Amino acid sequence: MSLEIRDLHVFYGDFHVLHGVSLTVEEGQLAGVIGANGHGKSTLLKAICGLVPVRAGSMTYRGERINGLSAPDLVARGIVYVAEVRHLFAQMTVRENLMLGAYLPRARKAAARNLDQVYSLYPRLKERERQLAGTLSGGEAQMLALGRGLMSEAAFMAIDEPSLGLAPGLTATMLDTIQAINARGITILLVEQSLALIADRVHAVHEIEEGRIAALAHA
Amino acid sequence: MQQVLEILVSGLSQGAVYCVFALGLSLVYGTSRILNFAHGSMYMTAAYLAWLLTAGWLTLPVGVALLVLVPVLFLFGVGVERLVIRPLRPHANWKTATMMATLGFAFVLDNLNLVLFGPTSITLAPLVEGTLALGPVVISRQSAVTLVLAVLVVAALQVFLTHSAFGRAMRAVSQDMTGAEMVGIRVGRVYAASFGISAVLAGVAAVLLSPVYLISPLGGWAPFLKAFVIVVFGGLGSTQGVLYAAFILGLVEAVVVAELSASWTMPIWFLVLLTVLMVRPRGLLGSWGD
Ligand SMILES: Nc1ncnc2c1ncn2[C@@H]1O[C@H](COP(=O)(O)OP(=O)(O)OP(=O)(O)O)[C@@H](O)[C@H]1O
Ligand SMILES: [Mg+2]
Repeated sequence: MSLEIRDLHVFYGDFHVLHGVSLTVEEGQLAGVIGANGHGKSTLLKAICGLVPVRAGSMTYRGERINGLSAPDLVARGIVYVAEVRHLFAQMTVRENLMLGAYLPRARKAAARNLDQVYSLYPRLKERERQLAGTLSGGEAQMLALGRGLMSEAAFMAIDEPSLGLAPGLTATMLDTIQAINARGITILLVEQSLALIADRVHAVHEIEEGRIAALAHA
Repeated sequence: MQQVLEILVSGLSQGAVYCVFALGLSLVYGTSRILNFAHGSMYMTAAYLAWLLTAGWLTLPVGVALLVLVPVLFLFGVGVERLVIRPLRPHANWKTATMMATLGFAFVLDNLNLVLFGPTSITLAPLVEGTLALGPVVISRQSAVTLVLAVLVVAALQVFLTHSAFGRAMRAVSQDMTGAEMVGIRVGRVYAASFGISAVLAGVAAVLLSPVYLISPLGGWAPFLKAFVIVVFGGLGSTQGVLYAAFILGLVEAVVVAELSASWTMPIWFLVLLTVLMVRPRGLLGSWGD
């Protein structure tokens, strides 16, 4: 078992967003999370990755309790968040962004190998190596966000709506590369709004409805 | 011709020290989005410490005192961030709260300096004495050393920010704080280090400027105001912008001092600033949104 979440509650101030979410992700799985706008998908991924505080419940990763660990602590354990709104370093080049993905010592040691992998997965990024991240197209920015996550020597990636703002053709390509990343042994929790988009690609899917896991739509 | 060259040298060396001082303010704003109102008071505190080391308590050479001050001021800056800023971070209105806290801290430092050292201005010995003749132009050795030292400090900072892992992490935090956390950067450490570096920069400026501007409990506010104008002129948070702004305003000041009088400096700086802001609302190279 890779990730196990039990009865997770998350608040923004007084606003109760996640009302007791439980789910498990198996090692090596590509698991999907679907749900409509504003139902708490991003909040779930951020909670897992240490970017929003958890009020109650438990999260374990490979048997270790990870509640309350900071994002850097989690990145050090290979748990990486790829954000819906990318959070790239706009005034740095594509290459500088990728190298910052390998900031922590464990990832730095593997940086050369991971950079080759990222460039073979996204040759476009190699072509744009010296371009500022802030000037990339939507698709290229998404590739860079995923590439930067891979540079962190990720073992578990929480990927938030990679299709956001992309043309349908490009979305399919992007999801292909996510399957390719998973095929390399990286466990993935993938958020999308529509089941149709990911149904044929994932090993399991969880639906979030108003901050709760709804009945399984698909397994 | 000779006068023009003298104005040029004095403007450049003045601009270079302003650059050192203003970069401290800009660096802290860039990484942590905090306008540190205590920057001038920290500058004065550094000047008093330098005076203690060179005349008031010990009799170290000024250069040695500067070397001693670098680690001391770094730790001082880190301490200020830990004790004054960090406890306020989690609050919803942290921007106003931290700004007020730095203002309060400035008054604490000012009054501490007043109690400890009294209201009378004191002076710091220059790093070097004497003059230097470059052809027909005669300048003081101090302003030559000031220019060289300030340029070296600015260059070292640039190299650090662009070529060291931690410097890149600082730039990453200033561009996207959440993005920085997502790649494993501990932003708290970056905030603390930027305050530490900022205090060191204030100290370098204090040691270079105090022989001319004297040391007094409230004497930090004039340079703070100048640094503030430079940072806004260059574009909040942009180190490149500060570089240009400091040298432009340093030269403007040298001309104003030579042609009118020193008291005209600030009015004319503001005139230049307002003109620039009308054309470029975000300053020369600013890209600040939040
Ligand atoms: N920082 C925040 N402060 C307060 N409320 C927030 C914050 N972030 C999200 N919310 C609220 O929490 C709820 C869940 O948001 P979340 O981003 O998790 O939804 P989502 O399922 O990812 O939606 P989308 O499909 O639009 O990305 C929403 O009602 C949102 O308005
Ligand atoms: Mg979302």
